[in-house]
Amino acid sequence: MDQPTVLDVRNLSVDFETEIGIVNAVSDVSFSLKKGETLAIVGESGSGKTTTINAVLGLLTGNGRVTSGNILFQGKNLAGLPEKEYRKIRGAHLGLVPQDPMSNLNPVLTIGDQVGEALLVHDRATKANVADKVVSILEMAGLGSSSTRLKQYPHQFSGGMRQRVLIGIGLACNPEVLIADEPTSALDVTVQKQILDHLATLTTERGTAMILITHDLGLAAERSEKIIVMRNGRIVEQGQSAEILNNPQHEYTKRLVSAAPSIASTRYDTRSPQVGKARPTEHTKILTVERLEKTYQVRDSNTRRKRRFHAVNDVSFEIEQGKTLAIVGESGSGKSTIARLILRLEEPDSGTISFRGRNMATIRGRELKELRSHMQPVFQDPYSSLNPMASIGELIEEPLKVHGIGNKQTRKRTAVDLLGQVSLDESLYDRFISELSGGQRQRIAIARGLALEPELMICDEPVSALDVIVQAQILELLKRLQSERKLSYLFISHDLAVVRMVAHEVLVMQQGTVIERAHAAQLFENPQEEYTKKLLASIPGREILAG
Amino acid sequence: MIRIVLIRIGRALLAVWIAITAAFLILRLLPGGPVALMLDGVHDPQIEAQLIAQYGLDQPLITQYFLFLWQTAQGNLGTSFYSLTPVADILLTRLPWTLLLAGSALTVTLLIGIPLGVYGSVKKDGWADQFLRFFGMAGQALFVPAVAVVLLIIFALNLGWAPIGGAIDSQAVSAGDQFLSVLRHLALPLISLAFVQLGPYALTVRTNMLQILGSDFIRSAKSRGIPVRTIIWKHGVRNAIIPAVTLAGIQLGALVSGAVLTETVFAYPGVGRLIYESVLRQDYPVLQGAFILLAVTVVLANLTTDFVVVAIDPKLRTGSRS
Amino acid sequence: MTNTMSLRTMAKMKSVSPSARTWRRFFKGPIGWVSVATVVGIVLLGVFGPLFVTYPGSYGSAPPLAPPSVEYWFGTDSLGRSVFDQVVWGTRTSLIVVLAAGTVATLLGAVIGIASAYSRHIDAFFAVIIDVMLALPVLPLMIVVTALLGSSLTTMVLVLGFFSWPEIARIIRSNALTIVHQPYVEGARAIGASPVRIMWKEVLPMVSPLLIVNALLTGSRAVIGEAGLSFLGLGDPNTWSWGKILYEAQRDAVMVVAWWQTLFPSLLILLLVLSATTIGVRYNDSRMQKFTGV
Repeated sequence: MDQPTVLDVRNLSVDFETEIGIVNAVSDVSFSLKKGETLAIVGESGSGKTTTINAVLGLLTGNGRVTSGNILFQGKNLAGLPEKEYRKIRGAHLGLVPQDPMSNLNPVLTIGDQVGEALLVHDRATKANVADKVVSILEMAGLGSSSTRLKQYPHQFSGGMRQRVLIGIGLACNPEVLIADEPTSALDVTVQKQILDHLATLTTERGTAMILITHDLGLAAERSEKIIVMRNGRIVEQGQSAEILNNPQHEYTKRLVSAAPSIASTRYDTRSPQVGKARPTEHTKILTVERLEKTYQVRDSNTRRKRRFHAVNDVSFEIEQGKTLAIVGESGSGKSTIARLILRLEEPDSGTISFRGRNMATIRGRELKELRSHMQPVFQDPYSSLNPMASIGELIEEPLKVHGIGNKQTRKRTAVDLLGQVSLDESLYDRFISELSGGQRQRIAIARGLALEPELMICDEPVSALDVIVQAQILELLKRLQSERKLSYLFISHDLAVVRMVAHEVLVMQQGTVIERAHAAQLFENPQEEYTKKLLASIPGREILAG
Repeated sequence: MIRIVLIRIGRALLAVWIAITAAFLILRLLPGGPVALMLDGVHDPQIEAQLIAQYGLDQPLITQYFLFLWQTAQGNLGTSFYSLTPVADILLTRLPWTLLLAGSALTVTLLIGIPLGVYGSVKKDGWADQFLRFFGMAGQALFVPAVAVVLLIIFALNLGWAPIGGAIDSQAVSAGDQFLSVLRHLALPLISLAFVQLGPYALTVRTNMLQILGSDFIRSAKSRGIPVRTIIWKHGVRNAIIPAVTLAGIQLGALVSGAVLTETVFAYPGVGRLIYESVLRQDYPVLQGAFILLAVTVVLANLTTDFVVVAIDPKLRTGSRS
Repeated sequence: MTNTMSLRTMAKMKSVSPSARTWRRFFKGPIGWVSVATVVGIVLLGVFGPLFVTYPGSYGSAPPLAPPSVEYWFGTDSLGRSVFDQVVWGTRTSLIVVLAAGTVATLLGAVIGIASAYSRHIDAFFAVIIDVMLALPVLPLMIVVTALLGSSLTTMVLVLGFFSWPEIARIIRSNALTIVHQPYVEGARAIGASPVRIMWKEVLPMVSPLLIVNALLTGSRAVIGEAGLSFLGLGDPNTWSWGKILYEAQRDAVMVVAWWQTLFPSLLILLLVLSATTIGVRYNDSRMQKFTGV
């Protein structure tokens, strides 16, 4: 049965006026959406996917204009529609579920007020019955005890709950089209799955057409019938999901498909036999952690009592030379805390961290400083993990300066050499990181980590903030460095698919406790614990590929 | 929330205590001690002994301190060197005028400043906004007495609309006449004070509003088709009012300081002018008492705004889940 | 996310240091120039002016209370002294106040602010002090202290500086708090850098824009503070200051009659504070643009 087309975008182009001149953000984009259909727009940052939907919603920021093309919706052309008319359409016929649940709700208004507002503005409720309607919307969105929730404020809800509220608001007036902008990227993987499942149910029930924006190809394929791949403001390829995934035509799409962690990770068994197989020979243990504990005193603002929060609970593991141990978990699992404890950014309450024959947990002063030079960090956010005021050369040389190694010339030579090792041009020595992309900055961070020639690198979500293709490149770099220098890695991540590509051993954590521990291949093929299985099942795109 | 309220009260009490202690210490640490000042060159051992006993100056410092605290708590702030009347009485007659001046200046600043700031943020770069930005910066650079003099010259001297000084016309008899007289005398001092504060205050309101209007949740509200006016007032201002109130409390401290200068120029009989007079006459008990009174007033005002903020900010009211 | 520049474009771009770029932006347009010129002018007036102008003594030879004329640019006061001379010598005093008080307040505020952000123990100690000092009305406090310590330039500077540092400390502290939790500061700790090194090399440069703006604001507010104290009769009797000129007018009850005596010093106060503030704000804005790329 052929459904009618609800949204038809034809040859849409959007320009922005900037300091440097006119920038063409979106060029000649065309797609159509049928009733009840879900369409995914996939692209990395800067691809123009967000700008496109902003144009559809008429919410382009200040200096953006639709320069050509049509946005046909309900018999009108939205491009060039006067604001007054647009307001009647927004919310009522075109819904939006925005990306970040933390910042998209007004902190000083109650949840009931904000949900009800959407109804009242479009005459879907009167002052008399709005409270009841809000309650049913919140229930529909999966939030229990809705009548109490009405009077609560956003800061009293968790991230997942807030996202449900946003979904409720988006669907409140039963729009014909719902745009979901990366609706779950800020949430834990297991919560993600719940929410996306729920969203799928709701839209199927109501026959709502949905546009799903995402950077994750696997997720797109799993949740939508059609996929549009965008790059640099243009559509590179579009078609049915299965087609795109299994038979990509365009070069870029092929790269995306091969780089997507959920997909790439399934290939690793066949490609690199080293990763995952149990090593028969004994190797030197670089790091041994025994019975690590860390508790925080937290004040629970709801009950107003002091609570002991067990961040790390009796954790033990070891890392062999030249190998990667990955710690996987969702937020609150304690994985980042462990990294901080090992780096001695905080002190554990008890337990030992044996590194180079000494206990990292208790040593101090010069001993600690000396030991630190053998263990270096790589952090998650390439935009805040490097001091933006220092030049790149200074950044790479700083560890050497702190430890008083070499003189000005030797340090410069080392820095330039390291730039080459991370595949960056040596002319970057005098530059500043504000000019670089996320991937390039992360390479700098790695170069800096290598300056002291450490044996162990602690990587805390080193690729989570990067685009998919860049992710793959950085992981390649890390693997190459590992085999060249016999580096050991402690790799922290929430993304199992990424972990699969680099880890030899995996530790799964939940709420501070180790749930399961195994060699990588074994964990992925034959998980033992329930939680591990749940995590694996939540990797988007897994089902499509299995089939 | 109770916890926050208690903390704020505790801090206020601490501030008051420190102010009182500072006043005590400073006076006692004068060379020659307070007695020398009181005697003012008169060498009479009998009177000296009498004064020493009266003020307990032969006792150890600690005892003096507690005596002082006790007396202050009871409202006994000593006796003026100049007029030999109780300091507390003097202060009581002067305080209402300062409260009137500072209070009305604050009201004007809020009533005009907040709408002006909001308007400037909404019509960014419009005439109101440019005016605001200029006056925001210039306001901090204006010397209050200068503004006062300019106003005096224009309105009192040349136009004769307002009196040159004082707070009330002693000839006014009926309540109506008295009321009008007070207003006429209040006008220029009020304008001088408010003029300087208004610009910077409105500018801060504008800056906060701009920041809020750029946030994610505003965009989300727009995406639901909510009309612009509602977005500005219900979503925007409702958020901006919180820092605006906090700032108002801080402004009051500045207003009290400004009042000292304004009252001096206009011979307005408030506590501010009293400070000027007591410095001139070296009447230290009065100076000390006036200082304590002003300190307590400002601390109380800040406490009030703190409470208002707690009442209107949901995060403080209910505690966050984090 | 930021645009990626192609490597070729980057190679073509000269490596301009961020500070050069900041200044280029600063001087684009008239405001930058005018404000700097004004400040420079006032500095020159204060430094070199007294060399050309006689120190106004206890009485003058000109007709008293004469309005501005070709001979006496700023008119004369009730004792027949040239107001212009007074203003020039007052400029020197004001500059000293700005510099000295501003420096004292900034140094104290920066050190305490950054240290409080870094160490929770230090924070606990100073937070109470800062809170209390900010809760009390400043001018009455300064009046009491100055009245009792005796009026001299040194006292003024110390009093002004001492009562101004809490505000800077509070602002710097909240800014530094966000920086201290940034990964790159943790990275520095993980490398083994000492706390002093971190505060000096990582935190201080990041708060310096805010520090500079506030240093200028505080320094200029010190001028107004000094004017206020002098106006009330607490100024150094041996130096001329802008506030003192108004004090004399007030004391002689000629404020309204001899408008020039009030106007000109106040005008200079306005010019100095306004330009100093403008420079601070503009510098900050010019510098911030750096972080969003080109």
